[in-house]
Amino acid sequence: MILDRIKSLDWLLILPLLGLLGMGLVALYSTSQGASAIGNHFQTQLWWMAMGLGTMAIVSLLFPHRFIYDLTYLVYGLSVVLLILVFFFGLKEYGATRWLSIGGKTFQPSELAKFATLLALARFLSDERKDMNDPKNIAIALAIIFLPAGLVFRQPDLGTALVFGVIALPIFFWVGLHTRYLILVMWPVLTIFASFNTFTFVGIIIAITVYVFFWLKLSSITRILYLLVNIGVGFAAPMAWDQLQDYQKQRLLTFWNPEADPLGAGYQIIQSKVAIGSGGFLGKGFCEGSQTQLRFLPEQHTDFIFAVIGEEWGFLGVLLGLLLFALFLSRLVYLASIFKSRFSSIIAVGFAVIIAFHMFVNIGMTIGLCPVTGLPLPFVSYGGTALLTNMAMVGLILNFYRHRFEY
Amino acid sequence: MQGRTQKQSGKPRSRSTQQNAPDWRLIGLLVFWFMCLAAVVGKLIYVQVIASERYSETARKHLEKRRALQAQRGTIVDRTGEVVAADIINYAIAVKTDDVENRRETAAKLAKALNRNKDEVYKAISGTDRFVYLERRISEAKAAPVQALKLPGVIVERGFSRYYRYDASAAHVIGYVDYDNKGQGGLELEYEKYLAGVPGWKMMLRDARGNYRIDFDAQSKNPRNGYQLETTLDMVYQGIVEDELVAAVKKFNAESGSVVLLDPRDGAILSMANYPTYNPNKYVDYSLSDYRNRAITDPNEPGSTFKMVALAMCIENLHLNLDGEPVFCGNGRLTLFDKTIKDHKPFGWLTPRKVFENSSNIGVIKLAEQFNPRTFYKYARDFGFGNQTTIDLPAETNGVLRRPNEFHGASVAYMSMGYEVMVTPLQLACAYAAIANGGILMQPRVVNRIVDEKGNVVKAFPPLEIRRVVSGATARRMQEVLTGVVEHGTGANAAVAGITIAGKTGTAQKIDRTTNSYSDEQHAASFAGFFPVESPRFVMLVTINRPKGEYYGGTVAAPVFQKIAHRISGLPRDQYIAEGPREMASIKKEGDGNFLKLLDFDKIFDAWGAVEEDPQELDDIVTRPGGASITRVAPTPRGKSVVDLQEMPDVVGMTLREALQVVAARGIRYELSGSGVVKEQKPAPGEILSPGSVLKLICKVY
Repeated sequence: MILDRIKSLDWLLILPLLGLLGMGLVALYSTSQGASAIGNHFQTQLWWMAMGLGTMAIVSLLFPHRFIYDLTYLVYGLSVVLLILVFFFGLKEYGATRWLSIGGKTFQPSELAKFATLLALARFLSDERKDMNDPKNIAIALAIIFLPAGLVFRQPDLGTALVFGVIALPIFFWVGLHTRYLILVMWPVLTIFASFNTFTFVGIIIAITVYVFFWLKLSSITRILYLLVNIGVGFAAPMAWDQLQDYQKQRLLTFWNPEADPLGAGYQIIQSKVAIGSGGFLGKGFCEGSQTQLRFLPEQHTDFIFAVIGEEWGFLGVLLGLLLFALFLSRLVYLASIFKSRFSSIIAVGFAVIIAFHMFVNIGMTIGLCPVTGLPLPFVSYGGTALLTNMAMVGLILNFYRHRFEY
Repeated sequence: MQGRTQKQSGKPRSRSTQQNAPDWRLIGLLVFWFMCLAAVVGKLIYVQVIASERYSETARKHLEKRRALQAQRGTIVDRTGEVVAADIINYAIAVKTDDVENRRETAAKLAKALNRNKDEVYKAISGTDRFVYLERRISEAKAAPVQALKLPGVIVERGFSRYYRYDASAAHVIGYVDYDNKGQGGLELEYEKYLAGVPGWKMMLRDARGNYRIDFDAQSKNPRNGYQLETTLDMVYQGIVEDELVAAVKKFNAESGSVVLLDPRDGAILSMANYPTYNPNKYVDYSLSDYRNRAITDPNEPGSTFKMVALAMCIENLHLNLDGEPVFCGNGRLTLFDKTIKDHKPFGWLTPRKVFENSSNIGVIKLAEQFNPRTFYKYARDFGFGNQTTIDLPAETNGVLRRPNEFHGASVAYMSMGYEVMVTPLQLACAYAAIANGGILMQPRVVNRIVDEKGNVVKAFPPLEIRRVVSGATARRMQEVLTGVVEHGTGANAAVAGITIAGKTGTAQKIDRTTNSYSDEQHAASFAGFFPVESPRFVMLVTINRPKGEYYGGTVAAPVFQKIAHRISGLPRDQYIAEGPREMASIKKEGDGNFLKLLDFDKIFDAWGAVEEDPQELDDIVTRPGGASITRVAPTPRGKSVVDLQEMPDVVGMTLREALQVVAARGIRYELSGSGVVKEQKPAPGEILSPGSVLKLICKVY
């Protein structure tokens, strides 16, 4: 019976996953070389990986159908409680309180909360009796997200808090939220960026006017109000910018131009780009990356592990990594579209979005496309909690896959 | 739009109310996802393929640093190959104050390790300077405890420094180097470009914390070590000369003194000593006047030793019968214009030979006055006066020899007896060497050869004839006269039994610095001579400046000459002089050929760490791990090829002469009591001696 179940697993999802795990191990082996290595992350991660695969197997093979569905709100509640506990009893590290210590082992509840929130959201949104375009339901769904997201933001962990927000849009999109709502949310964001230049600002206001007055069917008051909100945001943004202290502006600018502050915030990005860039097309070879081995590359086992791959395996290695992610994520989205169960489908999409967001933000950070946020690269970066929860989620998806024809 | 998406359209979707997202939403997500992916791949192509070269360049800049590799300064050896000056490895303790974690604690630990005052060290490392040297030029033994502490910010630097084995001996000739190992005097300055060598460099890998890493493939250029200077000096003679010079200066409470000892046949300077002197190992402790090589920098009126010019002129031009027509020297007083010239006693009638033997001023004047100024000037000039001897040492002066058209009425008279001219001791010694050498003036020189590490001759300095000053016959007759001076004239005190010595005394009145006129109390006593007269091998000039009490050349300088001549004539030194190419004396390199010895890297990298402070890369790096000891590979009569610097040889049972050879060859200072055979020595054989300590030899005659 177990054998049948194993046969019924989705190997097209598992194979790229194993590839990514192997890639992470190879990179971690390299960073654990030499006297100046911070620790033997390779060995530790090997144990975590075994536990992760075990968890995946248990969740995928042994959990009964609907088991998770039934537990959803309980898990969500538990994770919120844990986040509150972190708020009071958490361990402080690098100026942030993110960890709970359980029997000497540290544990990051925000990792669990990410997925608990996804589960809760999926369960709430999968109720077919609810109209997803009803503002009341949207509000409840947003509340489900913002309760844990707010707690995480307070830790502070901006990167992970962003993840909560980022899950929301594609899921709402997936469950059938009108596209116009999404677009209405997008306009003010664009306005903020456009407002620093008179011409772009005028241009975007004209575009909004055209969209709101000639495209949408809304009451005049709503139209005018919306336009005013946008104009207000447009004026407020540069004023708010002027209110910022110089160092705060500096920090924000370093997001976009790390070279401006090579010793401070830009240091990591510069080192990471140098590592990846000097790797070239073919890379410098296993354990031969000078930036890695001489520890110029910061956080090389966690946040910047992608740069290790880039330096030692070159563009080809990096492409392989991206290809594995692409396969994994495409498969997830595909599964989402074939799952009969709306709950399963939402979770698959949500999980894909979470992984994709982590991946883009992390890789984008290492090559200077995104600001430094401290999000790890899923399945590749060193870190036990993240790996366990991710693997549990994969297990869950595999479990759903076995029951893909059920509702 | 929904209809056009095919991918999943075939899959059954039974309950429309619970239908999953429509296909266009799936496509929308995927399109967004691939757009992001395209952005990442695009940027990656830029970073890794298009701009890869630039990033590689940046990486290299981060990683690699060109470090200077210090060249070892060339060794200076004497004519027997004895090492006089050599580079040794030493240590410096420096503190990079920014990297110190806890200054109080660091200061306390350092003070304990260095045996210094805690507060003093704290004060030194908590000032405004970011890089402080606590100790320089200390031994490995002293640096090791600090090394063991491994304190952050504390750097143990290895470097070369000059070590002068004989301390002050021959200091004026050898010279000294400053803290940067650059020559600042003597041969060290004169031959800087040969001695210094050419520093090399090595590309070093540096990690993110600024530590240096081993990189066996790194590019490097080895330093070219300095060349070895083989001097003409003989350190055994030098020791004897200094012994006697210092003893005389002290005995007569004189202001200063110089001795020049050279070989008349080839102009080789065997010894050159001045007192006061300095110790090049601690040159900062001395005043500037101590650095002066008076033998070449200080011209003085020579007095009677200069009469040899008149003697040469008379013999060569008058075919003077030395024992012929006597000269009337009267009652010892002669008035020239407004001044009265005195002899030290009235001589009456003297033959020309006796004029010189008794050093009668009046007699010499009467002989010299027969010549015009031009002739006198020619002879003085030909002997080398008024001109640098062109010896290969810095700061030589010309002295003063007036041109004939500047002579006044009494100039020839005054000059004939050694006034109105200024000559350096070396000029005088060279002039006498010309007489000893059959009338040919040789260029004095201190360096025989310059050789590289493999023993190849880089530059040779063959003996150089300057000119024939007088004919061979004249020279022989002059030798004869000068022999008489020692045998039965004023130079009797210079006589050594068994050796024929020729020479001339000189007692010059000095100008009193307060009255600015010739003083009756201040004199320069000198003796110039050579031996053995049959075939002269040594020319020696002794000058004692402003002695107190005794002041005659015959009583102050001649005895010094006598003692030195006595001591050096017994030493068979020539057999020590090596023929042909000789392996370069050098610092012994432990683990040679195995430079990248892993165990030593910590030490070396610590040293390298010091440099960053200085962008000019003035830092010096030692390329050789391991300790150093001075060794010499040169043939010695006993077949011993290596002379251990520190170990005391066993000389008990040797005759005094044998013992002194052994002792002197090792540069050990000694004190004697008794004569004959060595009965006892202190310290005992085999004991480790620190440089500069004194060996006591107790001898007895059987």
